[in-house]
Amino acid sequence: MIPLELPELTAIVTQLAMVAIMLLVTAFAARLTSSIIRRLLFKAPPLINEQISRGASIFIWLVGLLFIVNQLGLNLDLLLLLMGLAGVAAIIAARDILSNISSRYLIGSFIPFNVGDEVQVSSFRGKVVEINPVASLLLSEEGALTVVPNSVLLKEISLNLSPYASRRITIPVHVPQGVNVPDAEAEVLKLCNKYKNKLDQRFPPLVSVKNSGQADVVLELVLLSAQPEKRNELAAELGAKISELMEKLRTSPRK
Amino acid sequence: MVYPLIMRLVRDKVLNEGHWLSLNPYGPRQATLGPVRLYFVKLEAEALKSYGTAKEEMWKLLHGVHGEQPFSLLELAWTDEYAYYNQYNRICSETALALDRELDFDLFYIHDFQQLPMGEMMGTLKPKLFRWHIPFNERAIPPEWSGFLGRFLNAYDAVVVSSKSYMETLLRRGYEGRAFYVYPYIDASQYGTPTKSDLQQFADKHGLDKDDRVISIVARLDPLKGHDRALKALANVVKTHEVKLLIVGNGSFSSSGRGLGLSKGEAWRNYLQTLVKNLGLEKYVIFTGHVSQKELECVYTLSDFTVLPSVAEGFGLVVVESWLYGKPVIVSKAAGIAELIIDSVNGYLVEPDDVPSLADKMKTLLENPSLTEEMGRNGRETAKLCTLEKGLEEEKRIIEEVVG
Repeated sequence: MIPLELPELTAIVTQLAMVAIMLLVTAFAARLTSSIIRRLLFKAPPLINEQISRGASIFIWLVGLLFIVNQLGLNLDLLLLLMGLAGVAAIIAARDILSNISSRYLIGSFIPFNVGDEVQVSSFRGKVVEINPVASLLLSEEGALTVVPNSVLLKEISLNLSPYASRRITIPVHVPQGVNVPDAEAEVLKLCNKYKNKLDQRFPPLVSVKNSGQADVVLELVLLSAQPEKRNELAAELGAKISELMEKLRTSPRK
Repeated sequence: MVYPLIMRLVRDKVLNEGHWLSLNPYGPRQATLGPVRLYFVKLEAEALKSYGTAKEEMWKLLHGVHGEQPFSLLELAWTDEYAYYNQYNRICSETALALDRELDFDLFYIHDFQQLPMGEMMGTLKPKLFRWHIPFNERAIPPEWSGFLGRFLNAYDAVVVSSKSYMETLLRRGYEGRAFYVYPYIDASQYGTPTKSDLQQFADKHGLDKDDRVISIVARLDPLKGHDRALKALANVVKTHEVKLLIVGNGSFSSSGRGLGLSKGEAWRNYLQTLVKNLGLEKYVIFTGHVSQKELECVYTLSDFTVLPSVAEGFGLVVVESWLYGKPVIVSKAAGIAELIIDSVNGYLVEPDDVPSLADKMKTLLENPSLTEEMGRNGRETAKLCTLEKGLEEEKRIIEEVVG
């Protein structure tokens, strides 16, 4: 056994101490990130919340592991290669999920249907009871639940049987931090009144709060266009006007 | 109605405490009243005025009152005034949700059409009960409004109206949830017997003689109460009968100059006073203005019978008050309480615009004191359907059913 010199012993102890500290920091960061995600996604279904926070925690641990390996002076190349391969495998495995998630963002705008609509996709017909990041759920009259992956809605021809789907305009309204939400909503409604003649007057504007986080509050404005062919044009113009209005409210001093 | 309900639920240990949110532009932010914590919602002057205008207009529309221009609830919803009605409801909803985060409520009990959008706005899955106090008449609420009203009403777990017929209309006008009806109620123990000296004092104050036959209308000074119909009928009655008509009441606070800045009550009083003059009824009609509880007891005791000639009326608790004193009533068919009137048994029913029929019924009661007395006795029995005890038991049952 080769006796260690004092400087070498000191270096090893220091390195082990560093590894221990890094493990502690990683554990703390993983726990903190997981806790923040749980709080931010408190409105999401518990299972989704749990999966996302767990995924984030694993990611933090992987990053921490890389730093620890580096600290120990070991070769990182093999580990990075393994992680890269695992990443590619995960992406290939999750390509369908990613496709569904990206399709989700087209539903409601380019694929006009919302929760509550009666729709038919292939031979499946039912009321849309949920549109989640992966799939849309249709409840049939008999009580059967059909799960339609969101990407299928891009590939298949679907029918929206709700009478007003072709004329519905849904506009997200981001109320900036510091702007009073009831005041902003009143101004949005007053703005809609100016477009009254372009809208179906049997259906007055409906505003609901979609997200009230720490920063800005997101409202959703739903209107019906008087003419289906003018729907997008009207949505674009109203959307722009509302953005201008919110900016004006943000910069104007509170009464 | 809300305060006795909370007190009863606290007494019966159904509730630990009540938190009551309401509009009060002039009061403090909060106040405590026994087990009830009050939170007052404020609106800025411009918003308050516009909210008041929208609320008044909505109230008229829901009562089936239209001006010269036909106007609909859907048209109202496209006005800037309605934007402030919406704003008021959003403020109330946000306040209620903030309080819920702090206090973890078991139930939201929302009262009347002013707050209708709250259930939809709050979006919480906690039990939400809505009490519709005004009429829900088929005549006033056309099928075209079903979608608009339905989207708000269906956000509640249950809706309570004031009569069976209103409940039936509610279910025909887009509401798909649980519906109940509870007759409005009064605390009979609060209505005492006035002393001879109180009666004399009241008679002296208003120039009533000992032998005067007296008819009274106890109602807020508001065109919807139909005082003008009673005056026109009286003009016919006084041709053959010596009788005095007491018009008891003032305008409501919210429609006064101090409230929402709308002087509807004052304008209606001026109109009625002119009408009295034009019909030559000065010596037959007495406007008492607002009366105290003791004076109200004198009104009923001194009256032979009472009249509720309303054009539209959510229910008409004054009829129950009259019955408590054994006095029959002539009631417009437009009042919610009309479904409790058994014609010629505990009162008479008349069409709101049928002035000759109203005059005939007045004459019949004046000419038949024994019939009047018998109908009054029968009315006293009917009044038991609208007692505080019965009403609160019903409310309690509904609340327990909704909360689960």
